[in-house]
Amino acid sequence: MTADHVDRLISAATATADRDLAHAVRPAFTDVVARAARLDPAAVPTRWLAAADDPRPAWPAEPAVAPRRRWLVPLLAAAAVLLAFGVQRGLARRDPASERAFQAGAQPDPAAPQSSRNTRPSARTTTDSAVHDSTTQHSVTRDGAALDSAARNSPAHDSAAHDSARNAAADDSAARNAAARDAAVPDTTRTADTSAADARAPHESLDDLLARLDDEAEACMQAGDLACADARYREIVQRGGRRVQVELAFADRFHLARQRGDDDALRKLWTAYLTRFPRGQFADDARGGSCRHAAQPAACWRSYLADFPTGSFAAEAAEAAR
Amino acid sequence: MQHATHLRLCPAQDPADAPAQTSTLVARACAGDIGAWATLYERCYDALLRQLRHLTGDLATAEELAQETFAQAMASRTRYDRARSFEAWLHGIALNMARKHWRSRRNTSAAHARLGAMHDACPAASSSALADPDRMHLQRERSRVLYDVLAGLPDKLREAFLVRELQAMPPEEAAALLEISPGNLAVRVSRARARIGEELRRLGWLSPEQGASR
Repeated sequence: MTADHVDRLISAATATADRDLAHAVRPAFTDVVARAARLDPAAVPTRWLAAADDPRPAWPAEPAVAPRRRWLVPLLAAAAVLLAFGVQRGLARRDPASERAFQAGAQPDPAAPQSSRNTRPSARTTTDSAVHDSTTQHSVTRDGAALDSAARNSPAHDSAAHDSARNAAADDSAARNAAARDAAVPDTTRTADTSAADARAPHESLDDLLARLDDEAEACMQAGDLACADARYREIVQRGGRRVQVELAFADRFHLARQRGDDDALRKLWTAYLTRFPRGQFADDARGGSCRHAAQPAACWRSYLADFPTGSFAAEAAEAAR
Repeated sequence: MQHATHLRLCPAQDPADAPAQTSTLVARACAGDIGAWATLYERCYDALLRQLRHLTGDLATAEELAQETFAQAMASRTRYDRARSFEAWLHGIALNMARKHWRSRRNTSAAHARLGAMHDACPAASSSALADPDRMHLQRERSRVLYDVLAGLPDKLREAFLVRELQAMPPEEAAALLEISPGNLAVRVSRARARIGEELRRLGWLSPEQGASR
């Protein structure tokens, strides 16, 4: 039980870190240069201090993508204005369910175009792609320099209005799509499963529902009723779109399936998880686990290696892919 | 000791061309090209901040240390060993920064006093049935509890725990960063977890039965 409590603290710490980092602001580069000059004035040429205000032109090796895509900024700004206008009109017509989803700020469905502001990599993910994503998340800097970077890194340079419009519609569709995908996962607890969702209070937000389901799942676990716990986690997976709680619920379902020794369910859970979180915090494990059970393991491991060259299963993958 | 040459702190725009891009950038940076430093800063800052946030448990501290890490890298660029990866070097500077931070806050009695205050103010945090409707607040409190307990751990155990359990760094990378063997790393993580559990029980966050059942 101690381990569970330590894991709970770890989970809280990583979730808190993720939230903090979502609001982090990158300091101006000039501040860093000035600080370096204070540390060792002899090591920092004075021309650096002047050049640091606009250092980018001094770096010609950067891919030429940035200038080519600069035309996107005014175009997307115009699109944002149109979207904002559309959202305003749409808000007046939104039904109560959509309104709740909008307020809950659910993440968009994976099938929908990704928003760089919403694609926060997990703290527990160490893949190339995840780290790459993290470079686009801090789109606001104190000197504004990264706005250019954000436009360059994000083909769909999104605005707050754009996000809001997408989030408004995304939650319900995410839940629907998730339910369809997860239908393939065997459910030994469907009877117990229906109660939680049906019991959703009329004005209960999605966040509250997910928190309540998580509490219920934990109570089930404490009581030793693993089927009940699995049902609650499954409900979170069905309802929560791409929220962090869903990733954790998936992880708990992996664990429960392992406990049952249900390899078939585990494989299907991995597939469902990877469909929704292809670069999620457990993607490395899920991909590795899937490859171990794949019909064509060599091809699977090659694909794994391409995506997770330094992943937990890299050595095994390299061996198997030979 | 094998160095962490495969760390991905500074992702390039084109991952396929990442090694060449990074080595060219680093070469220019070390030669005094401020534009190259600006690009490295843009590429590496977010991941560095993430690492330091996990190592310190506090965003403001992490932001301060991330700036300091870059400033120190710029100022000491002539001491950079080209045989080593730039990312590993930057990681190492950041780790040293985090160590200094932990040393500066090493006052376990103060940390435990905070823990006691939190326990009184937020008793539900130690129970499984969460009564507090503000889940995010509760998570933050739990996070503080963990970092306060970590403050009382020996450096070696704390670092191993942080890079593996919170930062989720792969074992090989974590072991290389800390310059220990993967087996030693696993032992340290395990001991750290045990010590955290003991400390939680000692401070009354867990009942003796909860500990004994493990």
